Amino acid sequence: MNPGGDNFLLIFHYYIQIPMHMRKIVLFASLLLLIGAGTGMAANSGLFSYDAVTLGNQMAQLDQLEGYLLENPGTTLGTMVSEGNSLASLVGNTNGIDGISLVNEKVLGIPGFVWGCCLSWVGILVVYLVGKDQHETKQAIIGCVVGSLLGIGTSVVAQLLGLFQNINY
Amino acid sequence: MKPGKLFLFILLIATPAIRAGGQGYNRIRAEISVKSKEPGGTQSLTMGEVCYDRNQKQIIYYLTFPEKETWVSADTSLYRIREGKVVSRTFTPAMAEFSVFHLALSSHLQNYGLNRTSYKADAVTREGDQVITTWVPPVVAKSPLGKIMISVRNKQLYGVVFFDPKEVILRKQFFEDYQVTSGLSFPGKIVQIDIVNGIESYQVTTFRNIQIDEPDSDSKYFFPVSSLR
Repeated sequence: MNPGGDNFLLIFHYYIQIPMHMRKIVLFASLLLLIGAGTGMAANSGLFSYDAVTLGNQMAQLDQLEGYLLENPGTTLGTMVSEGNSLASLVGNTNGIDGISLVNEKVLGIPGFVWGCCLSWVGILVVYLVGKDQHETKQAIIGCVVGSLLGIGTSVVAQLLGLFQNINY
Repeated sequence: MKPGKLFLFILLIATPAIRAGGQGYNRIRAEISVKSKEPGGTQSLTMGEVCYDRNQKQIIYYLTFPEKETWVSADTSLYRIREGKVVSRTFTPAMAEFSVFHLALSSHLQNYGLNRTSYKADAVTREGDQVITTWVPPVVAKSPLGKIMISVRNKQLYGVVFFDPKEVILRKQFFEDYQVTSGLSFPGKIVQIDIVNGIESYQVTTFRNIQIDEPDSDSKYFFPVSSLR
């Protein structure tokens, strides 16, 4: 048994039935299809890549600060500011020493790092939806939670978000 | 082989397999750092330790930088505690079960937990060393939600790409530097790239000194939030 060989014979069988003057066109079209398929695959594969050099450049200063903190565990930003440590300015503290003001964007009062890095797609979705329409989404999320607690859905978005509640691990 | 010995043999063989299936992992503890950079140049760094017990369902961050604070995500609240006092309490959707910690401990990280939702796997392709799965939202949700593509390498989650309903990329996440601790594989680094109107912002989360199923330090994994109310 050789399924691949059988397929090839079948293709060849149909190919020789094509009039001679049409064969070049069929061959050319097949080649285009193959190139197209290959390009599609490469495009998908390319989705899962990023420019590591750019990322490294973007993170260079923070890497430096992180390295300092790893060598000096327990150091706070307040300590660094009071000591006049120039690295403290890298994180751009402009409003006193307030941890929550120094982390990423806030959604529903929750810093982005909680949503983004430690939550999976639910966090992403919430951030995305809130970005679209903060007030309505906030209401929807609250409605979702309340609705879930009561065992009812309260809106379309609440129903969408309600699917999260069905996850049972 | 006598039945008793046969049973013992099977038990010895099966136990690691059951554990590898992820049912036996309950706790994770790691040092965490989160570095973010916005397109405008604003930078932030958050460092500390994170503890999670999937039975308690509390994500507890013991932050040391920029300031010493404890953040507890419990049920539908996020508490920020400084010097033993609650400085804020925020009402949120329950978050613990959607965390990378819970997904890893329950062996659902590979597919991002999507297999337990209304998203459906629409297409699976193998491209080089990656297996790429396209997940599509339920029909009723196609207006606000876009597809999600997931790449798995060596049976580990590698990349996640989020699209809006018009198939514009919103966010890419990469799970790298996996470390195997006590048999559990967990990413040492998560790179996140957000794309808004073609402009990228970056976030890199690093986990160090990962500990799995630490037997002691129960108090690290549970915060009595009821006493805070």
